[in-house]
Amino acid sequence: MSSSRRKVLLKVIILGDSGVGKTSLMNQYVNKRFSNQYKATIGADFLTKEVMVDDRLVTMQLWDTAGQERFQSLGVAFYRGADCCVLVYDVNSAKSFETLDSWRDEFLIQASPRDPENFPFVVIGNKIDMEEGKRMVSQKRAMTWCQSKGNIPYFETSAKEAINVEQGFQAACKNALQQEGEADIYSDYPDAIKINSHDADQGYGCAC
Amino acid sequence: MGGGPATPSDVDSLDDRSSEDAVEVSHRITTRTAQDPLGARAYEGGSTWGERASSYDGEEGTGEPKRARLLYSKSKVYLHPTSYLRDNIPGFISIVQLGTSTDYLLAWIPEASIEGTPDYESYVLVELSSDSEQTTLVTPPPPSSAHAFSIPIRTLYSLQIQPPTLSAWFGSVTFSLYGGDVFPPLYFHDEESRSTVLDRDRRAAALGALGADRREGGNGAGIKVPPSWGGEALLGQLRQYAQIVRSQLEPSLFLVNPSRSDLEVHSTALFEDEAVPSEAMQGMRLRNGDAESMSAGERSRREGKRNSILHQSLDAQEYPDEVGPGMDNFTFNVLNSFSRITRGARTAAQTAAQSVLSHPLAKPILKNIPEPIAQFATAPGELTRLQETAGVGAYDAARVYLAKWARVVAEEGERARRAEVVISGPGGRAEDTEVGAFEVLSSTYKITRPKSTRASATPIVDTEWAAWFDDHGKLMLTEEEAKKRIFQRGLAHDVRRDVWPFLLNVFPWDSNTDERKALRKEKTAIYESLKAKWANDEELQKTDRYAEESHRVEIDCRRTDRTHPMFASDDEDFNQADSPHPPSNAHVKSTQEILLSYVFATESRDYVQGMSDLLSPIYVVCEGDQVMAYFAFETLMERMKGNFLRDQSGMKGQLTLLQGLLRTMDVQLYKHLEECGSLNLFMCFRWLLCSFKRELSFDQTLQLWEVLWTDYLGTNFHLFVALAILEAHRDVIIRYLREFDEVLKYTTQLSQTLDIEAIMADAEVLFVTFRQVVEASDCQRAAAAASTDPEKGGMRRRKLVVEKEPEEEGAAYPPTLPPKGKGKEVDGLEKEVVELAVEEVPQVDEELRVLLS
Ligand SMILES: Nc1nc2c(ncn2[C@@H]2O[C@H](COP(=O)(O)OP(=O)(O)OP(=O)(O)O)[C@@H](O)[C@H]2O)c(=O)[nH]1
Ligand SMILES: [Mg+2]
Repeated sequence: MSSSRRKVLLKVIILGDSGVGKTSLMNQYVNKRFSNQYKATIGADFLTKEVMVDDRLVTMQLWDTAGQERFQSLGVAFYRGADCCVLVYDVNSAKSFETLDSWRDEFLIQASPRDPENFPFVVIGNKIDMEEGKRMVSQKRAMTWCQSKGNIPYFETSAKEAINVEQGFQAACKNALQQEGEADIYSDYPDAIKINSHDADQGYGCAC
Repeated sequence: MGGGPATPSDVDSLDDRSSEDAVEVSHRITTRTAQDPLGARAYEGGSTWGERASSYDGEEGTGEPKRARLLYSKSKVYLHPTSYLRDNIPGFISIVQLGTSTDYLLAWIPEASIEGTPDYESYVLVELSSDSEQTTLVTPPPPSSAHAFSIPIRTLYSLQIQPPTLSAWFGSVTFSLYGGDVFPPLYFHDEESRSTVLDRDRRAAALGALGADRREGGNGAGIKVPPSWGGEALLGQLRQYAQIVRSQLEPSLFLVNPSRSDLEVHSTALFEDEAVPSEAMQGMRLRNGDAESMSAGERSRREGKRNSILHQSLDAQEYPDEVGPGMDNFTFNVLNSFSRITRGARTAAQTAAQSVLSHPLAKPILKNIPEPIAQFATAPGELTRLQETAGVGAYDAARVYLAKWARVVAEEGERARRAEVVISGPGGRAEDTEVGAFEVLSSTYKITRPKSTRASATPIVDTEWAAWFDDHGKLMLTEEEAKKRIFQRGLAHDVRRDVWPFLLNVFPWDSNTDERKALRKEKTAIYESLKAKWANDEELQKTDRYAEESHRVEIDCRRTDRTHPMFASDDEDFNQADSPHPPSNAHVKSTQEILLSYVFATESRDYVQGMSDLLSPIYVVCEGDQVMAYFAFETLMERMKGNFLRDQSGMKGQLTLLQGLLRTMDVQLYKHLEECGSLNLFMCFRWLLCSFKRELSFDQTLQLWEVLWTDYLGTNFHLFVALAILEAHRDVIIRYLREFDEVLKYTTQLSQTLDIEAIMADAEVLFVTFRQVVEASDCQRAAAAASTDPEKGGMRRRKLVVEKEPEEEGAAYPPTLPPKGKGKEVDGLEKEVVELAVEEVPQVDEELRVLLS
């Protein structure tokens, strides 16, 4: 099977400080709605969404995690096998921007992807619906950071007003697919070891 | 519910024979159980062979009872008429031939009915002589009656087989007949059964031989390993007289001489790992010598595709032209239809399941397949309703989707069952199922079934609470007694405001009204100063720490319980025109103040997510009284602070305890979760972090918390609550879920579906059970230490059998044996296994004992 014909399930991890709007963004993207009722995320949860990318049907599994640093140590349970990581900050909070570095580093440590240098990230600056005076992180500053980290695609969004959300996640999806290239996207899957120990499974989705 | 089709294809009519000659048998049985009228009645209310089963008397028209040839016999096959051990009736299951008829009979008779007769010896003899050609004649078994049956094998429709597991001690076989009769299950007490004990020795020998064979590079194919338990042995015997095909729909179901249509229905697998491409589809399965023994079937299931169905279904549908080498057409079709369930919205799942199960051919089997699946066949209107209850979203991974369905349907069934129990009154088998979680455990540990002492129908109301105090406002009950009552009955809502301060140590239980007044004053002053510490300190407010903490507290409070009336409104005064936060109100603001006071009370505290969830119910119960709420919250945080440590060591510790508890109490579920990569119990993280608050409604949370705070059953009762929830869903989890993400999704979505009353009752039963297990394990250890004779250690011997199970799993064996070369001689091996077994006696880890304190 050529790689282009393979089934696709993309695991996308959404990270960022508490309150920046990860849950809101995910729900806006998947369910097309915004609610004031989302609670602080405890533990982790995921939603799935199917999208067409260049005539390919792709299932995205979006993992929403808790924002407080101390809960990151649990990340290892679900970071592994990630195909892309979306880093979110709140454009009205400098602090949430400054922590992006550590979110990124911590993710790379815990997910331990095969090629950390080229692992696909997307950065989202959220809550741009607020009045301009509140803004604490300029677009320029954010883009400079993204460039310094190997040209990470950058999007400014509002989960509340549904601005640019679709574009941000679509970029995440495309990047993950591109990254996949000739590599087998399943080799990072948590079950990879188990799966490969059964010859019978090799007929599935794995051309190797 | 109906049984099998009215008649087997080749049987015209079945005689009904008068049951006069069964009187003696039933009489004896009745006296055995007479001391327990309830149990006896319970049983009579159930299915009895005399009334419901067709009986058969061999050749028609001949009055003389002929001698019958006893072809197979097995002892210690029990009927469990009630849940009481003392009511169990041991019997012989046998296969007999009347005259030269080729119509072989399957019979079960109580041992008591032939005790002291020559027949008894014959039964024992035949049991012990393997494959003997010798003819043994016995009195033909009596016709079917209340406590015995004999039926031609050809009238058998199916066997439901539950092999023994570590968590279900006795394997069982349930026979269904054409015409719809279902016999009560027969339980194989193999430990007592001569033939199984014999077999065990043979197995040990074969095991040794197998090991030797492997070392020599042979394939060991020639070695015939005797069956591992009585049900399997019986199945093997029956295969000599009938074609027996295992259902793909329900792996525990074995069809006897299935018709073509039955075969088709039962070869349609719902799950890909059961979709073992089956020769049965082409009608190619041979009558005998069928390699598919129970354990082989088990193995093929386990070795089945373990990848998430989500991935596979996507593959299958997207590139139908490209079927991989490992995928035959049949599997492909199953996957393909599954992908339709996965992807399609609600109707597709309905259609798919319904088209399989609403087919006329499926009717007879509905009773044999698990309730949740069977319910797929219900009317479409019903389905929609259930679907709404389940909150099935637009998209879920197929397994999670089906699991959720199964749960809702099972819960519907449970509701219906409870309604029925109410109608039929006590004496039914109600108590068996009421605490479903216990079912498995009780058989594992042979302990008496505890009962929940909870009586939530009569919560403590304000007048009663007031009556507990004397004129000085001093509690007249002991603290223990008061807590016990609260544990058992819970509190009416309007009394919570008075009781919670006691439960949360704001007031000592032995204080009087005056003392409490003074305390209250004192505490008000303390709180005011704590609040001033951050609210009036402008320097502090400029620090990073303050900025960070207050930001965290604010965003969380604004996201906490905003549907509760106290927090629901938004108030202009508290909202800046353009804030990134959801609107606030006075109460939201008030909870922020309490949390900030808590955080800045010491240098080292910080706000951690989850705390706002812990505060909110307290705040509501205290009706917005900041002082009371603060001190109550502080006590609660003392209980819970381990959960919030920076290094997460507290949460890890809790999950580790829960894991150990699960392993002790339900090893089957434990193993399944292990296979799912879910042994980290990450799906229980949220449960524990904020004490189930996110899983329950607001009112349910209050109910649970006040029970937890009594510490009536230890300070770790919440872990039994967690176990109770897992147990309530164990069947669904084991049957449907295969991956970490599926387990997580399923458990997360249990939120707001739980029946907290049932869970608390189950948790109590589980706690008492666990205590018994600890005691049993201590006794066991003491006994093992006292005796070096392995034959005497009951549990040890039991383990011996269990220990050998992996053998059937080919590659998996030997997972726990020491390095090769050690157990060369049969003797040596036997010894090693025993030693291993001793290690594996359901011992309770020392660390787990903390659960009892
Ligand atoms: N104005 C505005 N508010 C937003 C936007 N996105 C989220 N919010 C609000 O920000 C708060 C936090 O949003 P969440 O989506 O819960 O944040 P999160 O990143 O998931 O937070 P944690 O689960 O604690 O990690 C909520 O009150 C949202 O209503 C946005 O685009 N604009
Ligand atoms: Mg969130």
